[in-house]
Amino acid sequence: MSTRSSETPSKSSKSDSNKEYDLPRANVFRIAKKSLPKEVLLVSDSKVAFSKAAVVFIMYLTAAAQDQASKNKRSTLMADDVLAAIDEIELSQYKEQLLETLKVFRKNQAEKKANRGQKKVQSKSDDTTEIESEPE
Amino acid sequence: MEPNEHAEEQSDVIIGDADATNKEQKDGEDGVKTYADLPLARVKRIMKSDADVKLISQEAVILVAKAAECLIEHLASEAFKHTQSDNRKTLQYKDLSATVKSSEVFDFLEEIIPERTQFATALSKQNK
Repeated sequence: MSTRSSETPSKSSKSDSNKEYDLPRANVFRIAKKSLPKEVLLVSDSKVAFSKAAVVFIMYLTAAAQDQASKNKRSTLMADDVLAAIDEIELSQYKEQLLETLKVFRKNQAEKKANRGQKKVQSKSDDTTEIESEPE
Repeated sequence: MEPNEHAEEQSDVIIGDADATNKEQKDGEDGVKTYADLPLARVKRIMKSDADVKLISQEAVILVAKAAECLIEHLASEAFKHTQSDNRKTLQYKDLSATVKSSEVFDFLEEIIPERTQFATALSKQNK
């Protein structure tokens, strides 16, 4: 059986396919297993395929997101670009999870910011008896 | 499908181990929390392999990582349908290649997960 190593570039012609980029096999494997029943086994061929697929997907999505950023004349890739790109590549089914992740991230960032504010108040007065707490 | 979502401060993501993923978000700690089960630094590096990409916001990296996770899960569950229809318990490469072939949405994976031909078939094609 002839198998060719996939040195072929991904669909995006912009990506540099000469360098090797990969993701930790264990993580990819764990993610794949999550959506499969416990007793299902994965052979090493398929594990490799999952890993490569994920890498190529990242490049593909990034290129699409970069297009979005360019359209909006921005040089920084933002969350909105990724979300718009997801629609472009017809994988809007992922959007719900993505929006949820974004929500959690932004909430945590806001909390961290609030905590930093609290800590500043604490450090100003060494004998802290009162801590200003800002309810969300 | 409930991914383990916890905050991640650093771009050098420390992948949550079993303990970390079960922790509730804790305040006051510089908590090691993960938003996706893939290392963000690695994801970012792959994103930057594109020469056109200059700056990437942290949010964008997280979303791409999360999307990649979704993709893997999506591929796995679709491929598994082929495994099941063949009465197997082992997900083989051919289940993935069949999945990629059967759905337009996976066209970008056609060259990565191509259908494999028998050596004899390929050889005879070559000799023609």
